[in-house]
Amino acid sequence: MDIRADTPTVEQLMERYVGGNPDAFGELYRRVSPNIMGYLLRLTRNRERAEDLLQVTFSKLHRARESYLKGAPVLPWALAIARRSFLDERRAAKSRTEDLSADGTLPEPAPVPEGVSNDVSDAIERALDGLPEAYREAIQLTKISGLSIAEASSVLGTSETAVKLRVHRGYNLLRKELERFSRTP
Amino acid sequence: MSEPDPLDSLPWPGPKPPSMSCSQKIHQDCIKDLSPKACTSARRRAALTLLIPVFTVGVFSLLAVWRGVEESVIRAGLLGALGWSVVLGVTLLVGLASPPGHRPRAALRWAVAVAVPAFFFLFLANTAWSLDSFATFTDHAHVQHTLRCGGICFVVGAAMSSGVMLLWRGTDPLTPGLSGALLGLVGGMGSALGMGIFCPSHETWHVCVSHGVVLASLAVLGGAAGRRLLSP
Repeated sequence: MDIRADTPTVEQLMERYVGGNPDAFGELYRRVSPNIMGYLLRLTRNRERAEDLLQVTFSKLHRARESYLKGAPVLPWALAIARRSFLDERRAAKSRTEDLSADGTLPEPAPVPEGVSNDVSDAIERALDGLPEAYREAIQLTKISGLSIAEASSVLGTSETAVKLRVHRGYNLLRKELERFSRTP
Repeated sequence: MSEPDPLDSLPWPGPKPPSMSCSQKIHQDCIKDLSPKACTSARRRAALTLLIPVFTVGVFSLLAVWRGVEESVIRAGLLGALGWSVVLGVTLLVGLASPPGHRPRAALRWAVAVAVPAFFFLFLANTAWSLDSFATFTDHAHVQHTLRCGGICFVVGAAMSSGVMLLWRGTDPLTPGLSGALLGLVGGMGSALGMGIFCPSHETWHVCVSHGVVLASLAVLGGAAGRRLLSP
């Protein structure tokens, strides 16, 4: 028997959630929240901020559930809301002068400290966190969240060519960083 | 065939589950007041959207009859409106009739948002019955008439665009600006076509400025409003 045939898609779960089924929300949350959290964590590089933004994202999703259009892919929909929440939060933080550093910029959370690790996953995490934001986001969406180039471009509000370019450039930087890692004794 | 990228085989970091306390808070927030809501389709909303300009053209036609506009003028206006309602239908089909994420490429939808007002200008310029010199057009009486006509067209178009914007509110986090521009176009088109039937002047400058410019400006304003209203 094909088990997948009985497993509802996230789109079907979203429709049931809109219809008032709390169990559908539980399952929907279990399936999509790790992806959204991973994306927010990659954007903020700070777990606390990422969790705050995750709450904001789901709160918006809850309020806007009635406007969910049947059949719309849920993950890009939710990731776009998460990205918008992140940008709004950053804009608000920028306007609060007490949050700014002496040179008038928003202080970036400190990246994971440099150190030699034998774990390739750790090295990839560190290398990803060191990438410029645009490349980091594009790689996160396509490589880790599993979106297609078209979906990632709609989440990022840019063209498919721009996403491909960002992924490509990000890859090149990652490759250099990982070569440095492989040369470390 | 392209070579597989060696980076593809890397152990990419997996998704990151949020903490238990964060998940509990979200569950509490999202499950309270979970009243059943209807999940509508994009196609149905698009069909409802098309009814709004059709209704407006109908109202303007009745007003034109009541005002005593010549029957041939009303008939020509209705014929034009019928043709443009097909264009509007196609615009809605391409731009909004599928859910976000399944819509055609943004480039194609932008092309529609730009091409429809451009062709509408050409249509107005070619179907106008007379062409005055620019000096005549800018004399006081003509300017007053153009401003009055354009004002009515703008107010009606803005009201219609707001109505359709409310119908689509919060539905498009992916391309809210573009969808807003298309909705502004729908409102502007309904109003401009209606005014084409109601307005007694069919001079090129007049129709291009007081009907055509209004359509283009409502599409631009719709794009700006859409960014705020269509994104959840």
